[in-house]
Order: sequence, then C-alpha cells, then structure tokens
Amino acid sequence: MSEAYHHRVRSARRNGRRQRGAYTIVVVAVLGIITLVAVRTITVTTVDSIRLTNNTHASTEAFYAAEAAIAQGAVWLDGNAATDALWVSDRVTGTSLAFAQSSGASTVSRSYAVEFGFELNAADTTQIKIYGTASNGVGNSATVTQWYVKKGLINPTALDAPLTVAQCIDDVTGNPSVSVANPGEDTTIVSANNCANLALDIDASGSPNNRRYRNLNKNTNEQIVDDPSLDGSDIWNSIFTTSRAAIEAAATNDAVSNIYWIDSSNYASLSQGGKVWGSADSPVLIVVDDCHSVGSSLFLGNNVVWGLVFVESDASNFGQGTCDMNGLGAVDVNGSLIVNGDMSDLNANTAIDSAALSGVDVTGFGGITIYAVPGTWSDMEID
Amino acid sequence: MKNKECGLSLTELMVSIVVGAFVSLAATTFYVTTVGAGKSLFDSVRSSEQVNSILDTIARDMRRAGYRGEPTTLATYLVSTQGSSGVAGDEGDFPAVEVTNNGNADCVVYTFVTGYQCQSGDDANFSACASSGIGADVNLHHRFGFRLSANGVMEAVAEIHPTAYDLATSGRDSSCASSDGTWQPVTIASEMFVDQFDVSVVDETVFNADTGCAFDTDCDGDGADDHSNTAECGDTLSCRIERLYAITMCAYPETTDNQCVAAADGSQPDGQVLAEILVTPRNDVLIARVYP
Repeated sequence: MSEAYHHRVRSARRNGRRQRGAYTIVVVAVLGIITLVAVRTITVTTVDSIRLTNNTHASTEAFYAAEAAIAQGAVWLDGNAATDALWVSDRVTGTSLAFAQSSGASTVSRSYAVEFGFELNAADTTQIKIYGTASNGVGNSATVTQWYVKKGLINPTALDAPLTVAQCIDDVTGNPSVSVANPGEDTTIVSANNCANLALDIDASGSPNNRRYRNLNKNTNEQIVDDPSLDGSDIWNSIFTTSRAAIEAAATNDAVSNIYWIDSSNYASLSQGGKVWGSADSPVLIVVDDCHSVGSSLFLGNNVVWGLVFVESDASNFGQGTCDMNGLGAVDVNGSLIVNGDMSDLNANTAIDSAALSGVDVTGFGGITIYAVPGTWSDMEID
Repeated sequence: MKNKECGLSLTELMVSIVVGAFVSLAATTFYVTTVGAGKSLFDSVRSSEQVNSILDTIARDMRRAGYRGEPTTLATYLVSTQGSSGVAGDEGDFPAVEVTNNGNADCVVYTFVTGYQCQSGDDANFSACASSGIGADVNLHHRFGFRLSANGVMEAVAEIHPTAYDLATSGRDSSCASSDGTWQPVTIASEMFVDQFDVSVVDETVFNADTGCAFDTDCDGDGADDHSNTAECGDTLSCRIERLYAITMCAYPETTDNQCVAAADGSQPDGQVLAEILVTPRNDVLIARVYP
C-alpha cells in the first residue's frame, strides 16, 4: 500500500481519537458542572442554616451576659451600699464573661465585655435602676435593666416611738422614763384592743403625775398612741423588713454585724450587766427570743444599749404572752424598745430615749440590702 | 470504502449511544435527586425557621411579660400594678401571661408596657394621649399573643391592652376568642401545617406566702375557721409568683392535619418540625389579696 494511504489511515485514526476524546471531555465536563451545581445547592442551604443558628446563638449569649452584668451590678451595689454616697449614678466595668463552644476537637471561646451602671429615681431616692450591658465587639450586644429598692433591716417607722408594745402595759412602778426629742411626739405605741385605760394599767398606788414617767403619763393621752394597725397579733412584720430566720442567720452576736440573737443558750454569756452595746453611729439590733426562756429580766443591771431591742414575750406564740421586765434596773435604751406581747413590771429606773433624742444613726442598722422591684425588668429602651 | 473507515461503525455508534444513555440517565437521576434533596432541605429549613422565629419571638416577649413601666413612687407603683381583688388567681388589670385553650390548641396573650405615639383620635381613647397631645410619645400597656387557628395557621396579635382603651371605640378585639380580623396569620398555609401549639406552666414558685397565696382560715391551728377574727388571721396577704412556661410547636411542611400524632407503632412521617422552649418571665406576678 502506498505511503499516502497509510497517512490517510493515521490521519483518520487521529481524527477518530480526537472525536472520541471530545465526547469524553464533554461528558465529564457536563457531569462536573451538574455535580458542582448540586454541591453548591446543598452547601448554600447548609451554610445559611449554620449562619442563622450562629446568629441566634450569639444574640442569646449576649443576652445572658447582660443579665449577668445586672447581677454583678446588684452585688456591687450591695457591697458598696454602706454609705449613701455610693447610691448615685455611675458606670462600672464588670468582669467579662466567656462562653466556650466545642467545635470538633477544638474549643472556641467567645468573650463578652460587661458593663453595669445606675440611674437614681429623682422622685424616690430609695430606688435605683441598674443597667447591664454586654458586647462581644463584633456586633452582638444586649442591654437589660431592672429597678431595685434599697432597704434596711428595720422599717423606718420602727424607731419613731421609743417604746412599742404589741398588747398592754401593766404594773408600771419605780422611776422608768420614756422620752422623746420634742414635746408632743409619740412616746409609747400600744394596742388598746384588749387593754383598759388606754392600754395602761398603771399601778394605782400614788398618782402617776408624781412619778418620773416623764411622757409615759396616762394623763397625757395624746402621747400614748393606740395604734389601729396593732391588732393584738404579732408585730414582727411592722418592725422588720425580713423574716425571723433571716435576722437570726445574720446575727453574729458581736460587733461584726451588730446583730444579736439572744436566747436561752447564750443569754448568760451575752446579757450580763455592765455592758455598752453599740454606739450612736453604730447601733445594734437585739432580738430577745424569748422573754420566758431567758429569765424574768432582759438584761441584768447597768446595761446601755444604742439601738433597737425587740423582745418576744412568747416565742412559741408570737405577739402573745407577757414579758416581765422586773430587774431592768439602770438599763438605758437609746433608740427603741419593742415588746411583742404584754409587758409587765416596767419599774426601777429604766430609761428609754428615742433615737432622735439620743442621736442614733437610724440608717445604720445592719447595713442596707437591695431587692428587685417586681414588674420593672426590661430589655427595651422606652421613654 | 476508504471513506467508511474514517467514521464510526454502526456497532460503535450504538455502543456509544447506549453507554451515553446510561451515563446521561445516571447524571440526570443524580441531578434530580440532588435538587430534590436540596428543595426538601430548603423546605425543612423554611418550616423550622417559621417555627423557630415564632418561638423566638414568644421567648423574648414572654421574658418581658409583666413589665409595668418605670416606677415613680414605689408604694403607689405597687398598689397600682398588683392584683388586688379577693378572687383567687386574680392578677390585676394587666395579667402578665394568660393562656386559654381554643378547643384544638392553646392561645397565649401577654402584656407589657411599651412606647406608643399618639395618633389623631387617640385623645378620645387614651387618657395618656388626651393629656400629652397628638404626636406625643406615651407608655401604654400592650397586649401581644399567638394562637393556632383550626386550619393549621399560626396567628399573632399586637394591640394596646383593652383595659387601657375603649374597645367600643377602637373596634379591635385582641382577646383569644376574637374573630374580627385583629389577629393576623404569620405562617403560610400552603407551605406548612402547624399541628400543635401548647403553652403550659411547668413550675410555679410562690414567695412571701406560706400558704401558696391562699388564705389560711385556721390561723391558730385549733381546727376552727378563724377568718372572721382579724386579730388572729389578719385579712390581707401579699405574695409574689414566679412561673416557668413550656411552649411546644409541631408542624409539617405539608398541608395535612394530625401528622404530629404518632402512629400506633410510635412511628411518625418524615419532615416533622418539633420544637419546645422554656421561658421564665423576668417580672414576677404580684398579688395582694383582701379576704373576701
């Protein structure tokens, strides 16, 4: 065969191979494009889904971090509330928070800067709003607010009168005195529901005017108040802002808390005479629980108390029972004496001067606590 | 003859066509399957996003539920915001969260104070707008809520609370029983059938009241009813309630009812979107009661 024939055959074979090659390439290319489109569809959907989940996750994290900021603000305020000077508008950087998230074998940590601040209510300065803000620096942030009220352990009115008795006063003898700063102020608040003679059953021997009752004088009726809110039952809640258990738990029975919880177990060691309890600037809170179990007298003689003394007449039946005050000789109470029940035998030369008269710092009782006002939590900025 | 050798034989051509057909068939099947799977995934994501966006909205709103606005003087603030009638469970004029059942599913409405700009005519409806004037920004109790209609569509409402305005004047009923068009659909009926919407209280803690916010009638423990003796019982009590709510939604990306109910063997059809969230409103309910 000629050389020209072989050339044509080679050429044809080459052409044939090229045609088959193009066919394969086209098929592969089409398949590749289809695969790419399919994979792209899946990837876009999945990535969108992951992105949505991540955004939701991050905004939730920022929200919880902002709530943590409020909690930090409340703790900061509680710890710095010893003086009213700190009860002011301010902004404080808190402890930043980090959330760890597992991602395969590694752990990713996202950090949120935390800040809290305060806004005082000008109309009622017992109230303060705490702002909590958290931000992770890449667009996720949240702010929440909550109003708080500062509250002492005792109600402010607990110190208005130097002597408050839940039920009646009986057998006042000797030379006790109950005094206030200004003439006309209430000296003694009693429940007159079940008591004769405006709750006072003063020993009939001798004229009350001749005794040194000062303002505890049944002829000076306007200063002995029959308080209608005293219904003859337990008056704890009108004196204290918190429960018995909370006060007992807070009592350290020393100058650390200045809260004393006296019962039969520690009566002998704590209540011996010749002692000065607290001072005008640092008053004490003494709960005697109860009068029956600790003996007939609250304190042996010559004690001086700066602050508030609350006596349970009968700890097994709050607000009832009779506390015998006999033996309260030469005891000075600068502040307030409160008997949760009947009081009998107030005698000798007991002296009770009101907080205003003796200059007791009425804000100094057991520090100040704060609590959240219900219905004031918000994560919105509204006018 | 020489030219025939340059092309493909019939056998070669037929084999190529058969092989090509198989390859094309495989490729087409792969493409159709992939696109179908992608659409299925997209539908599923769209359904779950519709469910999740509703649950997310409820979660954020219910956290705010019970927000009463900025307090001025605390004592008057508390008196004006707490429930105060003698009826058990009364939570005042603006209950934070109310759940009712409309036969086949639950309806939840919740209330909090938020800003509102007084519009023309509002001065006749809202005392706040009457005193502040048209265009002023005031804070009013609003009511928001979600319910499930009988045809599997979620509906939402966002209105000023009916206690804060005159319903007869506005003509817009935001209660769960409303059928005047105030509630608007928020899911698309042709894309998703919502089968279940349940709201329930899973935990409740009552503070400041030993008796579960109920009056104790035997105060001295002698077995007799003492409630008439205020010296022993007192005639008022106050308490604070913290609640934990669970909200469950179940839906299908089809339009068939009742698929969320499991079959007798426990199996359920594919494509179910089931989500549950737990929410605690940050604003506790306040109740002050007077003995009836």
